[in-house]
Amino acid sequence: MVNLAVALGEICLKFVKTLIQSAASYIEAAVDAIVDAFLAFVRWAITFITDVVNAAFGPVIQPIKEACVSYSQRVNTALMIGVTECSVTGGVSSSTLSALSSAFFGDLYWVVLGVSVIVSLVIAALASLFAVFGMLISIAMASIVVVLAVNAIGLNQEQMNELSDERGESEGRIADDASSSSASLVWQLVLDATNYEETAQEPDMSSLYDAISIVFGVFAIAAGLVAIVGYADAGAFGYASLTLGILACILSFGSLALLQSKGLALFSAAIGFGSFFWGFCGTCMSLGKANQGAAITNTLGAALGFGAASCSVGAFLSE
Amino acid sequence: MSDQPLREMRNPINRPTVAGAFAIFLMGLLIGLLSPVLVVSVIGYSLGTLYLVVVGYAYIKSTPRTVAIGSNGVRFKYALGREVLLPWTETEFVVANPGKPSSFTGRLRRIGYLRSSRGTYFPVTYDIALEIREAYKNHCGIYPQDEQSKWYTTN
Repeated sequence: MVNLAVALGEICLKFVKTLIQSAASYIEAAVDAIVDAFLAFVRWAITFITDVVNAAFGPVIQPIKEACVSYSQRVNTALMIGVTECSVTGGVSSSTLSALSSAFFGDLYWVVLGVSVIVSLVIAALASLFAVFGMLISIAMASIVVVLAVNAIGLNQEQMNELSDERGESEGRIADDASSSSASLVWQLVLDATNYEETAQEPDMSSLYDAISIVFGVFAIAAGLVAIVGYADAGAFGYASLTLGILACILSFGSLALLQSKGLALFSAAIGFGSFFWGFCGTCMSLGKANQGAAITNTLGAALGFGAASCSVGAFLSE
Repeated sequence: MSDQPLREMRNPINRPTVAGAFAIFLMGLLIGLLSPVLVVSVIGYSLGTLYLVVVGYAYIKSTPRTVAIGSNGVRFKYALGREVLLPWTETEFVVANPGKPSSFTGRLRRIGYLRSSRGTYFPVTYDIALEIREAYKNHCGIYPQDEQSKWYTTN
């Protein structure tokens, strides 16, 4: 009986072991299938997110890339003029210094400044609206900034080569052959400088948009003053409105006076969007306390900022 | 709420805000229609619509349509059927600010609102806020706190 029991026990154990082994193989196969499916999903998600990011930020990245190329071209040209002039005359004239300064404060400077201001204002506005998710929003915005920076500012070697090919004078060639400042190179640089000066002095067709921006800027200042004086609840937004309005006004006047308003128009657009979002936040905040005065003021500020931003964007994009 | 509300009052506030949002929406439509630049059109349509949607949502979410005062507290009825009861024990402030009737801006500052101990605001008209303050005094023996002093010193 004992032997029979032992034999039965062994048979049962073998059966259970077989069952477990077969089940394990099935489970393993199922897990493999799940893992494969998961990896496929991850690959699809990465592709999808990449496509979405490219589609969403491509229009923003491309102008910044172009501004990068333009900026490096101008800085390169101005530097070479300075080097040539210094080697010939032993000094640098004031006009060359002026051109160099203009090159450093070219389109890219304003583009980067405008993007920075827009991102900061969007973070502030969204954090005010959705305070609970402020940190998540900040993280998301930081990610967007990284995407923009990597894709737009980080020019790779291929793009630099393209730039060099377009100009016909690469930095490497200039560095390797710095002493060979031949007449053709100098003439080419002078031509570039002349073209740049002509571009800088070329009257812009966006004066109408700038004039409208000035009107909106003045009204924004007035709205900010009313907010500060009249309604304590809108005080913070009033101060922001006032600051942005003054900046918008100064830039609009500068844009009109200098007649080279692409960068200024972009910056004005940033300020206009800032006014809009401040008004937006102030309006939503005023709902909680039924503060009609603050609501009216903030709505007015948002409308002015909206209009100014639209005009500035139109000025930036117009030929 | 076991008690019967004394009466239900309409609470017509924050309408200029919604009207302004609609005006900005129309402005966006106008910009979108008139602008020859596609990007400006897109900005006009999208920002105008965004403004109207967000402000409209905030209005529906935050503004009670009717207010009913009961023995246990105040019942607020919002749009889309949502109801909130604010018991007297959770009422932190009941503000009724008359503003300054002698000036235009002062009349715009004639506001009223309640705040719960959880920090939620319940905007009401000035007259309703006055009635709520009286009801609070009838039920609790003292007037509720008024946020006025804090309001003026911190903002």
